[in-house]
Amino acid sequence: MSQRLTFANSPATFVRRLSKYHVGALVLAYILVILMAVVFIVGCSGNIEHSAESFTPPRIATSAPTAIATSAAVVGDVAAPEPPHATFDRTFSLAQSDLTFPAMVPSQLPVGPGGYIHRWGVYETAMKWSVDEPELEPRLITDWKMDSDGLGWILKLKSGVQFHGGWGEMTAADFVWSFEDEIRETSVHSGIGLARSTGAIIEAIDTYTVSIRLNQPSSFFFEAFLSNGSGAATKIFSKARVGTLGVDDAFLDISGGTGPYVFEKWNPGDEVVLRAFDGYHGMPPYVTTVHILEIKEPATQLAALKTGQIDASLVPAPLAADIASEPHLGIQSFGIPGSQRLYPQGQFCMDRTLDGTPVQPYPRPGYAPEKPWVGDCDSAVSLESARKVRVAMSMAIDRQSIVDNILDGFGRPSYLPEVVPPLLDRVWQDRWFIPYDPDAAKILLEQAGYPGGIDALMRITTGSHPLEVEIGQAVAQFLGALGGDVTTEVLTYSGNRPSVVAREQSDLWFRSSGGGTAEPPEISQLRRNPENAFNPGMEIKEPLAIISEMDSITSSEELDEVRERLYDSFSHNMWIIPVVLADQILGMNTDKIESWRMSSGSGYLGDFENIRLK
Amino acid sequence: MNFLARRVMTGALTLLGVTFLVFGLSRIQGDPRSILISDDASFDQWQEMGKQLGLDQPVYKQYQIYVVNLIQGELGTSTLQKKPVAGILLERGRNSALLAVTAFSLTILVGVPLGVLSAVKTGGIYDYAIRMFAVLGQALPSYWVGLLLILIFAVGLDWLPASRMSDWTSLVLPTLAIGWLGVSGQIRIIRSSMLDALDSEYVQLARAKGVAERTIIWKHVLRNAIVSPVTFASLTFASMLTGSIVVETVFAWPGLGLLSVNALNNSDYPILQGVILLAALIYVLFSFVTDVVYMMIDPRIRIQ
Repeated sequence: MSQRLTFANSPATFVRRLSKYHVGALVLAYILVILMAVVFIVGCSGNIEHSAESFTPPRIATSAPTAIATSAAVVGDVAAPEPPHATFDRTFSLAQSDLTFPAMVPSQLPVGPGGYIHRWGVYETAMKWSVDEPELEPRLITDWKMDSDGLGWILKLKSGVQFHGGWGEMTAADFVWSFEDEIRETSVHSGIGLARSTGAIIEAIDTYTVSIRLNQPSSFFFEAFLSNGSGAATKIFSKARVGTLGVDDAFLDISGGTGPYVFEKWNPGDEVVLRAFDGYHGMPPYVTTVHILEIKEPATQLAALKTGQIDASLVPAPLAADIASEPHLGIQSFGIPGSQRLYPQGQFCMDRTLDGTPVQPYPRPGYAPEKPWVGDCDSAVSLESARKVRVAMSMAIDRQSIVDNILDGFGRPSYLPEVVPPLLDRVWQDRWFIPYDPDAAKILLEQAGYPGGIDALMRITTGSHPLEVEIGQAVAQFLGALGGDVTTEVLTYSGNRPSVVAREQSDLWFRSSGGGTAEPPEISQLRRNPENAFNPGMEIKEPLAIISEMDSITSSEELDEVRERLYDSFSHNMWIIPVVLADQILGMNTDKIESWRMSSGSGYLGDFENIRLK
Repeated sequence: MNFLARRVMTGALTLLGVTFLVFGLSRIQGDPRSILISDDASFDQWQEMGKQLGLDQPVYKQYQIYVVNLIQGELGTSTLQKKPVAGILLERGRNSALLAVTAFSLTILVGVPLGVLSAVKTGGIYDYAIRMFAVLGQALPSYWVGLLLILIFAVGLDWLPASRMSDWTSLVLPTLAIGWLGVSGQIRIIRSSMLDALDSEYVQLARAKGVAERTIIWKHVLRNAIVSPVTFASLTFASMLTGSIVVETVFAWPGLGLLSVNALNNSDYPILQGVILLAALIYVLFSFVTDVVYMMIDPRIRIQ
């Protein structure tokens, strides 16, 4: 009895009694308990924001002062400590779907961070694409001239350019070291193949003069390495920094760079914070602090934009009108549109590289002569049938419909693979136009021996454009309308890349790009020489030979003539099937941002120094 | 004692099996060099990078090294970040744990009483309302619930932040998105167990003896019905601790779930292996604790 009485008097009984008559009170009571629990947890864990700060790797947090102290012994000419930041604080924040990780050594800089660090304005290249016109302007150099034989350049470096973190003044030694480390034997940096194939030798003539010599002419070298157009661009690192810290510590150390912003924090997968560099050699940036937040989900990005949590974000085309209808938000297209294209993979027809080296292994695992778009490499008749199939596939795609219905007009049809403005507009010829003509496509398929259409698996890779899956599936439907069974498989770009690198692919691959660059597309196409790591399922001699020929031309007129021949070849053979060029759409808080002008050479978010706030 | 010893043995064997599976599956996912290496890299560079990453060894040797390192408490170094995996897991695990604790609190504090109420008021309006709430919680995908919560409470009402980890307010929406599923499961399982117990002879006997209804429910019925909910709660908490990939992605919450997504996208084996191993360890540990709790709450298990 006493036990029962004790139980009856417990708090649970009190709540139970409440529940008998007042269920609302019960719910309220529990909500209060939950709130108390949350408050308790928050109290125990301290300020969450503070704990987020502590994610910063200790080395990153402490390395800068160490760098200042130790670099003096090595460099011997260390700048005075950075003056305090300006008293005003103009902050700006934007969302990015993927913040990778710092990798602050040239030879260890993979594709992802390699593109970010100069687009964000922390590291710099010798030249930079202008904001107003598609032309290069000096950034870390003041002057340059080409040798009379067209095999080299003399670059005059800007004096007084200071590295972040007190690593001293940038000199020719840093310039030379950055390039040499980038192309060293174990480097993972993009562009090393091109640098090696040209036999590039870079030397310091004096403190502010650099000489570059090639053993063969290369029309692509200058833009590929000295401009900011691509991720392969040569960023200038402090030699003393890596020498002092060692490669392993320098990899994670976020000091260094010469740009208008310094890294204050880089938490991979979470947040990057940039702070204006007081000792910048150019015009000080207007925005003093930039928060780049990783938010993977596009819908969450837009919610954060609408609620003012961030100031800017990429916007999928169908939601552009919704964003624009918000009184404090606006949209704008920016940069260079991204190329959305279809790779008919499995076209591995080269048993030797361009320089005659046997391809290993040959035939490639992905070589698939039975695929309608591949054909037998040893049979001209079979290859012609495969060409007809590819042309038919191309003619079956209603590009304008994709632009109108999926991109909501934010883009345009693409008729040349991977060629984007401004180059596209300069070289365009009407004969490259591809009509949407499914009837003609069916006739071509019939001639090729596939009157019932073609069966295919199309891989659609994600991670570059918010509408890539929709566009890819539309392409699959257009191909399916020819009569065959075209199925799709959606996977991440990086998930697909291993089998591509291994040359195992013979399916169709729909691949998108977020934004383009002003870098000539031939540079990346040349990298598809069989001896290099990456190849999107095609090793074909004809285009590579033409591109190689282009690389050795130094006259721009002659270059365009050969380029025309290359595009004729692409248009005739459809080795790669162009689909659309999709604009990048930026949603911005117009109550806060007055303007944001980006470099004409890149279709990626960056150039924060050109943001003006209201 | 034998019972617990058997459990420890089983747990250890499970973990060993997990190391084998984790290692095998991560190798199936792809060669990390194909992510890391540049487009221009030559075959020599490919080989060199393989040496750096230990991929030049035979697979069985790689596995042997992996297990020996694990036994020594060495989880390896992130391929991409070049930082110790243990440190990264600790940083991210703390964030997931914070979310897990709040979501689990919600699960228990709301799920248990609503489950009891639903069982006691079977067939009534409260029962229908609670069951509807539970069905919705289990049927609606967390992804959709998360976006809906953002739409209502962040975009519409502007009460709470839309995403990311900042102050305590940023905990509320992800907690609700994760917790609703847990609450729903708890309601259904408690209701079901309670209904079984309410029909039992000892309850009828207690009622015949004139024991107060509230005593029957809270002392006799709930205590006898609690075994299944304890199991469920234990596994729910374990799953919350190991990070919800979907909810963490929707809310940009920097926990283990988001870490897994990034590691998977970038073929960062050591991180992937670390996350999965940690998850397995947590599940084994919680299973063990659950078994101990069984012994405490159910004398029949002690006797068996």
